[in-house]
Amino acid sequence: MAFSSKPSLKKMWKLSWMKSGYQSEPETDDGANNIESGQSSPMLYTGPSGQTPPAVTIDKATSEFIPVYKGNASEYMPTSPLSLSQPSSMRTFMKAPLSQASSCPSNRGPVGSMPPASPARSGMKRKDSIVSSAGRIADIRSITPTDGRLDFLTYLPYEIAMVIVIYADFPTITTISQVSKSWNRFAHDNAVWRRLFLQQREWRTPRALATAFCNSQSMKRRAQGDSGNSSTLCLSPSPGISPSASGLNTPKVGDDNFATPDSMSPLTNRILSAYSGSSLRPAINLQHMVAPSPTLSMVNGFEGQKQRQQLLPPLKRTVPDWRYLFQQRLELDRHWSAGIADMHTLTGHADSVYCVQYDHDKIVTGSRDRTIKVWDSSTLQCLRTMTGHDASVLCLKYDDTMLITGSSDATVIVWDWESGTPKLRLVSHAAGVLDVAFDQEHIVSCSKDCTIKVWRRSDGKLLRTMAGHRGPVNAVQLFNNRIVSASGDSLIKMWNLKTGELIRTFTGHARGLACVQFDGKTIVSGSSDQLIKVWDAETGECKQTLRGHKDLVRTLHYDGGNRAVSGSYDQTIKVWDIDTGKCTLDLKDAHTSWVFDVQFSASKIVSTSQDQKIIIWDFAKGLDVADIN
Amino acid sequence: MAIILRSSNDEDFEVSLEVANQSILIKNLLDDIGTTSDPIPLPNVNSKVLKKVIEYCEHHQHDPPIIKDEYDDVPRRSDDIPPWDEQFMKVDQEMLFEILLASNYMDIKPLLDLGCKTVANMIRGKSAEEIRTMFNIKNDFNEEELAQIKRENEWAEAH
Repeated sequence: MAFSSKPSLKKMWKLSWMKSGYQSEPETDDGANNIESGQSSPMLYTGPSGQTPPAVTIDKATSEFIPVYKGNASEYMPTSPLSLSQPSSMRTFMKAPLSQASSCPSNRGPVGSMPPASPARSGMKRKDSIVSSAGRIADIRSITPTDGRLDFLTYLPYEIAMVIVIYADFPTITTISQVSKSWNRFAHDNAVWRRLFLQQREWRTPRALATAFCNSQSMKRRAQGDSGNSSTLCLSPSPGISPSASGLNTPKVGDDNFATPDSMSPLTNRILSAYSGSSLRPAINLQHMVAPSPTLSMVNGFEGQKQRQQLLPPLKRTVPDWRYLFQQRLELDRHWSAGIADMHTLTGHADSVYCVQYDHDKIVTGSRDRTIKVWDSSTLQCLRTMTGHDASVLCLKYDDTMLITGSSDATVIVWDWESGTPKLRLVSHAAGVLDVAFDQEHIVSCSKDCTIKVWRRSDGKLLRTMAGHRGPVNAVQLFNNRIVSASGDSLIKMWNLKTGELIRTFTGHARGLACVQFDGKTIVSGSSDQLIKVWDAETGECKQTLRGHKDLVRTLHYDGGNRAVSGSYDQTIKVWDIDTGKCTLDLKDAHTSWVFDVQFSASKIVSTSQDQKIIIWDFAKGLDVADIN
Repeated sequence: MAIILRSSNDEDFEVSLEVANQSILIKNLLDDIGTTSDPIPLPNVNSKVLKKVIEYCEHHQHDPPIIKDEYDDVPRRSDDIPPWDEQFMKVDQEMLFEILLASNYMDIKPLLDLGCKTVANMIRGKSAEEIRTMFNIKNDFNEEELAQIKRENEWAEAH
């Protein structure tokens, strides 16, 4: 926000701070700025037409037009406390520390503040940054509400009002849009929709975050000429929701409309820092986020409509329309609950397909036919077939740099993506390798020989072997130095990766376990007792039991949200809400034999089966979610 | 070490350093100039509001520092207001409004958040007409405009 105007105290009340709220005041070089001419200023938001301004009375005797805090404390506070009975001298004081303050990047401001690092936000001219921090509001006492009731969203600084709208949550925004013209503007503010979108935990996929914070995907795709059903923000919002089309007076408020650097606000910074603090989320380059390119900052600042129009065209390509994306994402959720999906089948393996992992570009599968196949996600063609194991490929995991597979031949192979040939072969297990996991330094494998082994990723050196399970170890997960294993002995065990020490044993399943997932906090397990159990990893308590499968639960995928997908020997794939314990979708009659592996993402499930088929369920059917899935 | 905060109407309040430091505005100031026995002027906050703000800061002075993870879901929930805070926020609209402005000015994020949540909770679940009545807002739409807004909202209502 920016109550950024020249510090011309005497005229400040005309700004009608409650009206102009978060609006910046255009800077002019001399004291005779547009404020003098009052309402006629085209750059000053004077509130929705027809709205009666609140009564503002200025008590001449007591009220100074007090500076609103905008950034660092030092910007506002005199270097030594002084009496406020001398407002004019205070201004002199204020300038001294300011120059220092503006050179120190800071996110310390309150919601709606403008960090001094982004002077452009409050105006086009850099030198204005010094005075721009000195916005003014009338003293609070000067409001004389008619009867104690106050139009909060209209009179509060816009950024604060926006936080209230976000807290009120998505369904409420439709009501908010109907209250008054002033309230309606929130429903047309791209920054509101962006935050409403990001508020949905489940929606924050790496790609959506990239779109929200870097626009990298959209920029890349559009640079490549991939137009598609483009989701760009135009000067007026997308067709159908255009305020001009509706004939409504919905002034463009919120600098955030025009660029991602909504990230300037501490609130977003908090969200950002939260992301970067969680290893489930992609690492975000904070510096990149809070330091938008000069172009973005310039447009981000408030300036006359003419200037804005001049600056807009280059941005058109890159700023997503978040209301549109919100709609698309909501519709995608509906597709998940209603089971609306395109189904594609990949055939090519000559035997059971045991394992799968996929990303936006490719699908990688391992089979009893001893090969690994890489498929193109868009064309669904098999790009490559890799051979090296002497028996079934039972499990696989990959990242950008390498692929790791485990086999009935009792070995683990580390593959070189470039050449498609084995780079390392890890030999030590006495029987088939049933599952693998890895982090930046380690590879963990588990085997039918009842052990778990930890290897050094760089050279394949065996670091330690953990014995403790009394049955084959069917599945293993690795998260933050914790290994979680599931065994045919019906137990789940948690181990310390570094020491090999057993931390906890989870008991509750009646029969052997086939699969397990672990995100650091929650463990989800599937068993031959046909149940799926959700456990608190810290306490060992079973929080939820999911019932529905009619045979062994062979595979599970859980990614830290509330959704889990399971595949069973009963040939079905089920989608679960692990918070409620309800099965939200049951995919039957697709596979004709045991389901061996599943993985899901925001818009897809990919499953593999003994029937030799790989099935892709694409819930994005008919939707434009490429930027956010 | 006591810090003296001076309200806009020149009333002084003595608070502990811990309490004062919850205002990032004051904390940064004290970091810059060192602790001082001179009154710190808060020209945007009158004594009535400052008293209330200090009450909040005193109650929360021993709160553990906010860990990042806690904000993972911000601003997702507004139904998680602790009982004391809820009671503290049972004030008239004017005071609520002033607390919001003061906490923004003094940069006390938890209090600003609390204020925002409180107003959000007042709004949620109400009809547009109920909201207008609650906040004394005039319906400045004509029927055609309202019909248009309803059409725009159809997709959202469906969910």
